[in-house]
Order: sequence, then structure tokens, then C-alpha cells
Amino acid sequence: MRVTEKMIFQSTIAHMEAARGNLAQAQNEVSSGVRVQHPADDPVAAALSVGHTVDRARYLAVANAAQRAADELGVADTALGTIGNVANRALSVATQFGNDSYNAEDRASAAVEVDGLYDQVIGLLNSQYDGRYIFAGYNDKTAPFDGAGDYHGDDGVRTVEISPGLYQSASLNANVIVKGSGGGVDMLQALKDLAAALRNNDGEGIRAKVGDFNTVITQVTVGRTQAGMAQNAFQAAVTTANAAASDERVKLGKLLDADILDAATRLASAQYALSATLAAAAKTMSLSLVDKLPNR
Amino acid sequence: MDLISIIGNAGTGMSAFRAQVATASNNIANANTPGYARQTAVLTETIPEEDAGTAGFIGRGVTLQGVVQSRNQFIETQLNTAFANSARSTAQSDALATVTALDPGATGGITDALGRFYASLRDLNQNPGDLSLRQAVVNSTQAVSTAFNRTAISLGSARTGIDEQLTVLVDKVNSIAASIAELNGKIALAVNSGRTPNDVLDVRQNLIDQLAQLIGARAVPDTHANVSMMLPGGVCLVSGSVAAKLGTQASSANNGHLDLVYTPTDGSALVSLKPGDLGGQVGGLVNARDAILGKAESDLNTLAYDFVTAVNDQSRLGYALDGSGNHDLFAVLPDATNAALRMAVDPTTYANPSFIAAAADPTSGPGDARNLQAMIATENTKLSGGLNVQDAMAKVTSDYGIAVAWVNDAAEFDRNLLTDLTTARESASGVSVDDEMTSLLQAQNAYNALVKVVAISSSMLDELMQMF
Repeated sequence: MRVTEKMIFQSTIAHMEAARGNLAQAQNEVSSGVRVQHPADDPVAAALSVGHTVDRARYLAVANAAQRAADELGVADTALGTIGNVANRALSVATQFGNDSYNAEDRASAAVEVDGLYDQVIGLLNSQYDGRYIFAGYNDKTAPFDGAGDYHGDDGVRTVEISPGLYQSASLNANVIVKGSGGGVDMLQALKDLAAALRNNDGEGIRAKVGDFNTVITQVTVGRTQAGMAQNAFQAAVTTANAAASDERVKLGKLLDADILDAATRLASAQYALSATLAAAAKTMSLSLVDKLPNR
Repeated sequence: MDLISIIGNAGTGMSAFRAQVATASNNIANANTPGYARQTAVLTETIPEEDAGTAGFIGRGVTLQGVVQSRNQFIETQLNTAFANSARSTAQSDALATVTALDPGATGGITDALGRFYASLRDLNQNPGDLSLRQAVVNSTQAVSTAFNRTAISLGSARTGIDEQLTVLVDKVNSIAASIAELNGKIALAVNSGRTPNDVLDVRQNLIDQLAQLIGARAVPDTHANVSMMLPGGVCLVSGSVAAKLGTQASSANNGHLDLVYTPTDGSALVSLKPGDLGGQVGGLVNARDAILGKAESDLNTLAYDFVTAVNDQSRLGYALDGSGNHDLFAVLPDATNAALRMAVDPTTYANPSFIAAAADPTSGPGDARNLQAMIATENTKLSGGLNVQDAMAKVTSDYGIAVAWVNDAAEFDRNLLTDLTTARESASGVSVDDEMTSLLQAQNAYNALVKVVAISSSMLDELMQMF
């Protein structure tokens, strides 16, 4: 084959361009840490990354929501715990002042304590978390219980995701647990009755409430058990969703991030190739008959 | 043979070798001229006239037969196609290299915004009556709309950028086609008068190469030394000494992007050129603009329309905080035309986030999030392509990525093929300075020897003269 000077120049340019291109690519990967910058760099990885990015955001949102649901249930559980204590105290008062050895004056002063217990329970039932009344069903922007003990919430049960698309109930129905709706004992009514019986010095009426408060204590315990179970489910959901989210991050990394070791190796080899190309070009270009001819 | 004739023959030879030196020096001077084909002085022996009886014939030296170009027509034909292909794929690859609209992992990109949109709905599910969370949903709805808008604008402006390049390239095509037509006339004139205008041929060849690169025009030589230029679809751009003119025209069917039109050489009405009629840089750019960027744009519009419609359809079934129904979250899109560009938050909901239709019942309290949960479930709704929104977005990304990767691969392949062929052309037609130096020395030696012949013959003649 005839080889002309221009061929040597052209092939030198082509080889240098290729070597510099490889060098720039490897250098870019090493310095940015990103392997897939444009969809064309790896169409499959770019497409898969869409799914992983959205999935990751979804798992993080599920974890966030479940964490808040668990926190809210914690607040509900604390409120119910205190309400249980109140029920226990009311039971003691009923048992103690049911004894007819107490006179009307003693019972009247106990009635004042029971009034206080009543107000405490109303306050606890109007507990809020994050600006919401947690015992109000869907009607969570108005205080569910007024001073008379009437319920203004509804029967709506809030649900929160424990995994994408799977919802679990995240609220406790105080209308059932405390007001005894659907066959239970109305704690608020029982407190009002106890206070009235104490004021009336009605020993029979006082003793009649002992059984009511025992039932209320059971209702509250059942409610707290429900809260605890739901809280556990949400805590587990938080752990699972966070793990899934970090798993998605790892997958994204595998798809899009540069393998630094590999990129650095390629950077070194590209440098070597470029320097070899330059050396070879310098050698070939210095060969010309013009330089070897004697001056005549 | 007489001595005077010997001196005459040597003189003819000397002028032949001077021509060889001149040719070599012209070659060396043009070693780097694009399109230049190496020329060779063809020397031939002069037919002997003198009969030396039984001893045979005595030759009469050497003469210059002509100066010819070294061109390999087989390589030239292939090169024409290779120039067109390489220019086409390189133009596409270059045009697409700068488009970053669909890059994965870009913060604020569609993928990111989609994830944040559904996350904000999930946050609202936690406390649907909360106005600040409702505002956050409006913000993320705005963000996902902006992400679609921005991607559509970026794709659209890449397409408009190509239109600008096309306008410039079309002017270039016209001027080169006109030059080729003019040179065709000059060359035909020279050839018909019996001479080969090597240097003009070089200029024309260079223009033919350029036209192949610009628009994929194929050179078709005829018997009158003309070269006609045909576009890949068979449209004739240069015919003999007449050149057609190309122009551009905004196409209403293609969002105002430019169509190429052609004024036929016979002066008949304008003809709109189809993508298949075009090659080279122009064809590559049109393909990148319409088949790759245009497809991504239209896929994105379909996705935007389907997504907005799916979310709105569910939104209309629910109820706002005030119990009113039939609310949209996104502004309603009549159809997929430019949907990605027109995507926005519904103006009523934008002004008042309490209209986000979270509740499933007009009478239930602000904590009802059942319709909101149904709206979250639209992330799994199968859109028109049979895929849900994230899979549809993945498909847009991979379709685009595969198209661009293919173009990049084609560009590299075409470039390698072109390099091989230009090397082959260079080997056949290029100037090797070493060769020319050798040729110079050869001619110089022969010339010097002929000078000696003249000197010797002349001294022989002197000797003869002194006899008298």
C-alpha cells in the first residue's frame, strides 16, 4: 500500500482524537462519580432508574406517613393510659365513698374531685396531634367532646399506608372506647352520675357505679391494646419502608454511579494510550526522505 | 542517424524531464490541498523513424505524452456514499449530544417530580384537613407540571436549534450546487475541445464531496464529462449546468418546524422534500429533529395528557373541604397536543387548596382521605400505552436513549468506514513527498545525463567540423 504523509497525519489525528475522547470520558466519570449522564449512555439503566427513583420516593413517603401514624397512636395511647388511671381513681372513689360510714359532707367534697376527673377526661379526649383532634374520626378539625360530654366527631376511621397501596386503620374510636357506643358503658355519664350520687349522699347510687367503672377500665385496656398493636404495625412499616428506600438507592447507585475503581483504571490506561499515540506520531512524522537527502 | 538529430532528441527528452520535475513540484506544493489528486507526467518513447537496415530501428528518445490524475473511480463512488452517511449520523449524534432534558437523576426532572408529587399526596393523607399540607400538594402539582413544561421546552428548543442550522445548511447546499453546475459547463467545454482540466476536476470533486456530506447527494457522471447530483430520494439537484434551488418553509403540521422545499430545475411548482429524500448533515438533522426529538416530544405529550386525565378523573369523583365536588387538580387538557407544555395546576385549586378533593363523601369531616387514597392509586393506573405513569416515563427515557445510542454507534461506524475509504483514496490519489522527491531526483539525473549527451554530441560535431 502507498502511504502518503497526509495518511500519517490523518491517522495520527484520528488516533489522538480517540485517545483523548477515552481520556475525557474516564476523567469525567472519575470526577463526577456518574456513569450514566444521558439516556444514551445506557438506555436500559436510564429507564430502570426512573422506576427506582419513583419507588424510592414512594417508600420514603410511606415510611414518613407510617412514622407519623405511629407517633399519633403513641399520643392516643398516652391519653388512654391517663383515662384508665382516671377510671381507676373513680372506681376507688365509688368503692370508698359507697361505704355509708361517710357523711354527706365527705361525699360532697369527693364529688368535687369527681368533677375534676370529668374535666380531665374531656381534656384528654380532645387531645391533638399535628393540629388534628385524634379522637374525632373524620371530623378532626373541631373538638369532638363538649363540656356536656356530647360527641361531635363521626365514625370515620383514618387509614394510613403500611406498604404502597396497603392501608391500615390508624385511629381509635373514643366514641366506642370511652363513650361505650354500641353496647359499652359511657364513662362520662358514669362520672356525671357518680358526682350526682355523691352530692345527693346516695350510698346505693354510689355503689351502683363500681361495676360501671370496672367495665370502663376493661374498655380502655382493650382500646390501648388496639393502639399498641397498630403502633407496632406502623413501626414495622417504617423499618420495612426505610429499608426498601435504601435498597432502591443502592439499586440506583449500581445503575447510574461510576465504578470508581474501574473508571480510575480506564483513566490510567487512557493516559497511557494517549502518551503512546503521541510518541508514535512524533517518531513517524520525523521520517522523511527530504531530511536524508544530501544538499547538492 | 545524424548528430544534429541526436542533439534534437536529447532536447525533447530534457523538456519531458522538465515536465516531470514541474509535475512533481506541483504535487509537492499541493500535498495538503483538499480534493487534490496526484498528477503524473506520462513519458513515452518516440516512435523510431530511422531504419538502420538489417540492424533494425534506432529510437528517437522520449516525449511527454500527457499529465494524468490518479483517481480510483471505485473508491470515489464508495466515498461519495460514505461521506453522506458519516455526515448524516455525525450531525444527528452531535445535535442530540447537547440535549439533557431526559437525563436520569436530574433534580427537578420529571422522574424526580413524579416521585415528589405522589409523596406529597401521601403526606396529605396523614392529615387531609391541614391547609399547609394541601398547599404542599398544590406546590408539588406545580412542580411536576413545571418539570413536564421544562422538558418539553428543552426538547422544543433543541428542535428549533436544528431549524436554524438547516437554514444555514440549505444556503450552503444551494451555493455549492450552483458552483458544481457552473464547473460542469466549463469542464464540458474543455473536454470537448480535447483537453483534461485536471485542476478544475479537483475543485469539482471537492465540491461533490461537500455536497454529499451536506445533503447526501450522489454524483452521477454522464458521457459529456458532466456530473449530475441526485438526492437520496431521486430528486435531481444538479443536472448538467443547471442547479435546482432548495428552500425552507414552516410546517403547520409540525409545530412550525421547517420543511425543506425544492424548486425543480424546469421551473415547475415547489416540491416539499420528505425525510427519505434527504441525506448527509441535512438528513441527519431532520431525522434527529423529527424522528428522535419529535418522537420523545410526542411521547411526553401523550404521557402528560394521560397522567393529568387519570388524576383529574379521580379528583372529580371526590369532594373538597367545603363538600363541593367536580374539582380538578390539574388544569384540564383538551387533547395531547403540546400537553407537556401546557400542563399546569387547575387555577381554582391553585388559588384555594381547600378544593383538593380528598373526601369520598360530601358530608364527611375534613379527615376523610378516601378519595385522596384513590388519587394516590392513580400511580398504578394503566395509561393509554398499557403502562402506568412511571413505567411510561421509563419507556420514554429508554426509547430516546436507545435511539440516541444507536445514532452514536452509527456515527462511530460511519466515521470508521469513512476513515478507511479516505485512507484508500489517499493511498491511490494522495501525494507522497518521498515519492515526489524520488521522481524529482530521477528526472534530475536523466536531465543531467541528457545534458552530457548534448555535450558529447556537440564535441563529436566539433571534431568533425575541424576535419575541414
